[in-house]
Amino acid sequence: MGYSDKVIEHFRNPKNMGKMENPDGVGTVGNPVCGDMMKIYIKVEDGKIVDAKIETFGCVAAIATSSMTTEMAIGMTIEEAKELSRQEVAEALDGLPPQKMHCSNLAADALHKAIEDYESRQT
Amino acid sequence: MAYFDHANSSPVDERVIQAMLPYFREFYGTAGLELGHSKDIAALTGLEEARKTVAKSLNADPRAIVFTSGVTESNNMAIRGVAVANKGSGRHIITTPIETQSVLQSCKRLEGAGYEISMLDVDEYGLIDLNQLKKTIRDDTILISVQHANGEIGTIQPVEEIAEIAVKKDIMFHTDATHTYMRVPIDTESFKANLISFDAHRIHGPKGIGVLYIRRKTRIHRVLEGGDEERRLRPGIENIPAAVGMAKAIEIWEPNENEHVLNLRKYLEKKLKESLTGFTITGHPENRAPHIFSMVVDHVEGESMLVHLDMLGYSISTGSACSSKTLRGSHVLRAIGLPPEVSHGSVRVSFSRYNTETEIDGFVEELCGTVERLREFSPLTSGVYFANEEEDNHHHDLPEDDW
Ligand code: FES
Repeated sequence: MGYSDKVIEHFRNPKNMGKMENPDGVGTVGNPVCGDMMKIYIKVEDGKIVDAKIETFGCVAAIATSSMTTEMAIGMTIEEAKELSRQEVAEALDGLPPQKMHCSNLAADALHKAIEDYESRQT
Repeated sequence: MAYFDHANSSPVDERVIQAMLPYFREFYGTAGLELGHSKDIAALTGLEEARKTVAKSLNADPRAIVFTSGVTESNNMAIRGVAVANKGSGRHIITTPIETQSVLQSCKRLEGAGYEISMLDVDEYGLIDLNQLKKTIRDDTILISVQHANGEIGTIQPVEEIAEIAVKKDIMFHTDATHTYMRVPIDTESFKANLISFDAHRIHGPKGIGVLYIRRKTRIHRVLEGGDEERRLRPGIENIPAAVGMAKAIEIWEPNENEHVLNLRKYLEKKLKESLTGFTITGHPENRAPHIFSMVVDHVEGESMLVHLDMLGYSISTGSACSSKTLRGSHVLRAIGLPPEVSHGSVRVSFSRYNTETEIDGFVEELCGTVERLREFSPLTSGVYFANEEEDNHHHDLPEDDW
C-alpha cells in the first residue's frame, strides 16, 4: 500500500540532508543488487552524537528513513545509537510498506558503520 | 497538473462510456445463440459489429478477431496455444528478453514443460538483430514472438521483416502490439504475422477487453476449456459491453492523433534539452511508438521523482528497482545494458489526445525542480558510486504476502 503521512512529511521536508565538513565518523552503505546508496556523517562530543548529516540516493522510504534516522540519532549516546534498529526507525515513521523495510535497514546500517569509523579513529 | 502515463492506461473517452451503457441496461443478453430471444440477438449484434470494427482497423477478416480479457490473456493464448498445437513438429520458441511479462512467463512455463526457449539479444536501443534471428531458427522452431513496440522505451522492432522470415520457414509469428495498436498502422494484408495481441484500455477504451488476431490457417489450440464462444478458441461469455466500448474507441480515433502525440514528444525533448542537465534518452531515437518518451536521469532515483512529481500533480512512471514490488527493477532496462544505478533514474512520459504543450511546460519546470532538489543530497552527485562488496541481502528478505 501507500506511504504513511509521516513518511511523506519526511520525504517532503527531509532533515539533516547533505554533506558535513570535518565529520568524526563516516559510514557508507550501498546495495549492489539494486543500487541504492547512503552516506552518513556524524559529529561526536563527549560520547554523544551532536550532529548528523546524510546523503541518500534511493526511494521515498530511503529518504524518509535517512531523515528520521539522523533525527533520532542526534542526541543519542554512541551506545544508544548502536542499538538503534530499523524497526524503531520504521515505527517512528508510522510504519513502512513491507517491501520497503530494507530501506530503513540501509539507514541504520550506515549509522552503525559511521560509529565504527568514529571508534576506529579514537585509537 | 497532467496525466502522462497513457502507456500504462488511459482514461476512457466519454463517448465510449455512452456507447457501452445500453449493453448494461438494455442489451444484457449473451451472444451464444443466433436464434435466441431478442436480448441475446441485440447483444450478439453489438458484439459482431464490434468485431467488424476491430477487423477493419487491421484490414482483416472479422473471423480473425478473437476477443479476450486483455493482452495478458491474448499473449498466453498465442504462445501456449501455438506451443500445444505444434508440438508434433517441434518444441523450440524464439523470443526477446524485453517482452512483457505475460510473454516471458508463458515461455518460462513452457520451458518447464519440455520446450526450449531462445532469447535473442537486443542492442542499446532494444533492437533485435535479424541476422541473429535467422541463425537462431532451427528445424524444430515452431514460434517466434517479438513485440511490436516496447512499452518502456518505445522502440519499434522490424516486425515486417521478422514476419517475412517466419513465413518463409513456415514458423508461426506472434507480436504483442499493445503499444502500437492504432498508433502505428497495421495492415494484415501486407504484414504477415499470424497472431497479434492488443487491448482497449490504452486507446481510451475500457479495461478487461483485448483481442488476439489470428490469421487464417494459424495452428493454434485454445488454452481454456468451455463452450462454443469465439469460435471455440476462447470459451466463456464475451465481455460484450467492453467489446462495444473498444469498437467505439477505435471509431473515434482521429487521423491526426498520432501526429499530435509525436509533436508533444518532440516538444518535450526540446524543452528538456534546454532546461535539464544530466539525462539520456532511452530507446530508439526515431523508430519508436509516437507517444512514448523515456529517459534516465543521472544521480536521482525514479520512485522519489515519481512521488515528488505526483505531489505536484503530474503522473509519470519509472522502471526503477525501488518502485517495483520485487525490487528487481525493469528487465527491459537491464536487457539494454543499463546498470542498476542508472536504470534507477528512469522516467517514462506517455501522451494522449488530452495532453497539451502547456502541460509539458509546467511539467518540465516541476521536473527540473524535483531533480535539482533530489540531487542536492544525492551521494552520487560527487561522482562516487559505491556498492557493498559483500553479498547484501537487503533486497532478498522480501516479506511473504500476508494474505
Ligand atoms: S532505496 Fe531502493 S527501494 Fe528504497
